[in-house]
Amino acid sequence: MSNIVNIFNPKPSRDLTPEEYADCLPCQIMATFGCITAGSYFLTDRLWNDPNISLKENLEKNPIWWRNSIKGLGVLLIGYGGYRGLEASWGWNQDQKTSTKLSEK
Amino acid sequence: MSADHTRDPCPYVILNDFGGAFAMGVIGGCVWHGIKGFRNSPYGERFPGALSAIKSRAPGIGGNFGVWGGLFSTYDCAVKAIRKREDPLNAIIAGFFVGGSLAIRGGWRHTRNSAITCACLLGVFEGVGLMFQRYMAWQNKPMAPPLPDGQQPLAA
Repeated sequence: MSNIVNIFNPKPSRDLTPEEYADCLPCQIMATFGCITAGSYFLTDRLWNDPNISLKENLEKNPIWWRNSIKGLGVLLIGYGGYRGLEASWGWNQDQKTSTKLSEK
Repeated sequence: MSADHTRDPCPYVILNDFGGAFAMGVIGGCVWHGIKGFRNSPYGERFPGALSAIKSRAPGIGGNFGVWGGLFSTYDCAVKAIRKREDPLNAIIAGFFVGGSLAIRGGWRHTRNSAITCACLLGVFEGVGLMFQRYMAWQNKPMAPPLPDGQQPLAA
């Protein structure tokens, strides 16, 4: 089963259990990789290069505010990717009190 | 309700969906371009023509399907993690983002229109799926067996 199969055969609505949305190392690695890759792509000018149309048409299709918005999104994505990566590699965002209590039990 | 154990947990299901969608696209592309290449080739060259069309076109179709499936699954997992809930709205929101992401190179109008169209399409799919499920549940509803004539049901 997959998320795509779930489109055609929807499951009953329910709240997820805490185990199902708990953070994990693979989640952090994939989030870091995905966010930094997408953010870097958004920061380049590859998105707007289209040799088949004139500069005027290109500016009409991709106005300056749109280009700046996408670049801003790219900066945000790179920042979030870095945050997730540091969280994964250094583990600074763990609740020390909770982990101590769990290890004592 | 207990956790769903019939599918992979979230980060892994993205890879699963990417591969599944790629395979689906390749198989569909083989059938589609096989028939198209066969019909468009001259007599005596029909099978080599079909094979050539499959070799040149099917991997591209598979890649397009794979990118759609992988992105959809990624957004679905992200939306699920944020909302902490599983319902049809997750797929609609994920579809909105997939449509927008895939059309981003076409300009802001194309991005907006594609995002809205994809969300509506997924909403229709979800709605039809739910309606079909409800209809099947109504058709298979439990019924008491008919009693023979003249026999009274047993008292407790």
